Amino acid sequence: MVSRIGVYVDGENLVVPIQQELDEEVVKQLQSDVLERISLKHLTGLVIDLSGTSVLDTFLARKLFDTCRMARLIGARPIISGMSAGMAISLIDLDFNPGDVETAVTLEDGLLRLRDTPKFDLIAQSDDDFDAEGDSFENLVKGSDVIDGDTEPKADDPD
Amino acid sequence: MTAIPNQKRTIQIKEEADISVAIDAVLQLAFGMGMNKVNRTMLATSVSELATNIFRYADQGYIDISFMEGEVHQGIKVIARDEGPGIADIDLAMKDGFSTTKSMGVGLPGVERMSDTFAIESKLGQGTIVTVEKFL
Amino acid sequence: MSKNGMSLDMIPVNELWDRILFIGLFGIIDSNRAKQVMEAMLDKIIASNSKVIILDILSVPTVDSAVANNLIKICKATKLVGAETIISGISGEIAQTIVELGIELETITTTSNLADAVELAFQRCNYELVEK
Repeated sequence: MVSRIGVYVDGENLVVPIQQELDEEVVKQLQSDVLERISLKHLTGLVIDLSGTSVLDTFLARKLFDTCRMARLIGARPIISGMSAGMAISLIDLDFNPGDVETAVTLEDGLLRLRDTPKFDLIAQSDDDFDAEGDSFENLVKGSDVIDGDTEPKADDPD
Repeated sequence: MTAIPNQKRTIQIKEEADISVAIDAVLQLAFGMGMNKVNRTMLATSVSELATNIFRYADQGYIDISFMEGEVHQGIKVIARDEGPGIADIDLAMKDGFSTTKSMGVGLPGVERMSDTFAIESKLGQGTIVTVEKFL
Repeated sequence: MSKNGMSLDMIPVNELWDRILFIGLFGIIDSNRAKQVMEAMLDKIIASNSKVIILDILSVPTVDSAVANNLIKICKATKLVGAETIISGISGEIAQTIVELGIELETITTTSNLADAVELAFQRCNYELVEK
């Protein structure tokens, strides 16, 4: 499983369609490639689509969601799409916390969402104390709806 | 590409300013060895965390930095040791939320994730030794 | 003068634009330095009635949990006085270490390069750049 996953630039976004089974090395390389491309091209959106892969253990899921968080830190809004019902359910069972990473049902949905929102809006600091994104993880199967502001992360005190 | 010298550096951690000495030292050695930027950053951040723990929880301690020149693996080995109070529950210290650390804590799970190998030994009242390796 | 006798003038807080401040940090940020930076920033925000301050950390080699904690405190403090901090200069490597350490910076606006931060600051202040 040594083939590198291709990442594609579409306007301001980086599109990552995963079409193979994943292992640790591939995901590590992907993380590197994603961050590098986003930095280099100053991209503001990222979609990682999982519909082409069938197994996602918590370790790999964590690595992918972490990649999304890292991308967010360098200025790109991250979305994970195409998660299957099976994946979602097994991740819930293992107490996985998706945190602030958005999800969408299909890659197209993800891209649409990225195009609709004005640049930087979702990375804006919230003035209100929002509750967690409002979506239970179960809704991953249906994809979460974006209503402006709803995807703000929990206003947790990190201290 | 660069000759790997047979050096070991030990930095005493007593004052807060010593932490940056340790960070600088490991960054220099890692760079000199040809370690890439991502790995250097992770290694230096680990050293920062470990040295901060020594400063915060023990009166003083040491950071030993040495080169590893195995056949398979080359890289840097860091030993953070102190004679402080020790960690009561290592399992607890090594646990964190799947993706967040609510308390700033001792940062050890993060150090483990950022290192290629990680080992910790601690005895209450005697001290703690953390050994990490980062390959090129 | 700050409490430990070091002149706050030694930490330059730049007026980037009307109501937008900029401060570039370099080197390792320990708790003392963080405190000095915070004081300098807050003083300047209040004195200049600024709305946004950009804090650039491109030249800060490592961000561990202690440094991150200080950055979070700085952002909280600036918010209390009515301004917003944008942290710029987060490289891919630093982003990796921050996430691997499990630090949550997500309520803070961050960018990888200064240009993006400046553009964002302009947006927040309702400025628009128009080509002649």
